[in-house]
Amino acid sequence: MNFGKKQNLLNHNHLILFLNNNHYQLTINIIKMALIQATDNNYKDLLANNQNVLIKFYADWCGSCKLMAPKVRRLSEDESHSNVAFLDINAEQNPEVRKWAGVSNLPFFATIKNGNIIATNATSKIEGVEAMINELKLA
Amino acid sequence: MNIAAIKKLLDKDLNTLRKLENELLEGEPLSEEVIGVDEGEQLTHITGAIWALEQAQANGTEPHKEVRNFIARVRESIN
Repeated sequence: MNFGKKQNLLNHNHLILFLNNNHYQLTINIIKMALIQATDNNYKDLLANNQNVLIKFYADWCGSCKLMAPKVRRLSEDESHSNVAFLDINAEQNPEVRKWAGVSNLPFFATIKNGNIIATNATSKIEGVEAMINELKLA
Repeated sequence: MNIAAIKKLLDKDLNTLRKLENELLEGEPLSEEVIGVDEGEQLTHITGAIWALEQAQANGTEPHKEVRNFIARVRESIN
């Protein structure tokens, strides 16, 4: 069976497949991976390559972190925040960046502009994270 | 985080704890009482109890000892 493939140029998040001669059309919605998994090994590069950064520190044992995860993911997929890089860092496994950011509790958020920390906050409220992002954009 | 709350959950079996964990993750009301100031803390206590019981089974140790190891993990994560 032959498959034709055409990329929908109107929306880069969709892939349209055509089955040749049968006029079937399948649309696959590709979710943008807006949350970047970062570690001690690559966080410096990510900070150097992105002007505006929000870091979410979490741990597998942290209940509040698990409950916040989908809310932060939605923020990262919001087009109005497309000029902010969202990094996801496991604090338990990455002591270097954890200590650099001054993690004191979890979940913990840090905003960075041009490699410099603007603000930090140990919060379980998504409104607090939104406020940090807005402040970051104005900095 | 309340260590006593985690230890109290050790009386429950793993299936019950996983069911409670899922209720919180799905935003459903808890079917049993779990100590915690909010859903996040409740979920942390459940996570701790699950981890302690699984570690105790795997290592042949006492669950209460594994709760101490869980607390050590937590402290290390924010050190």
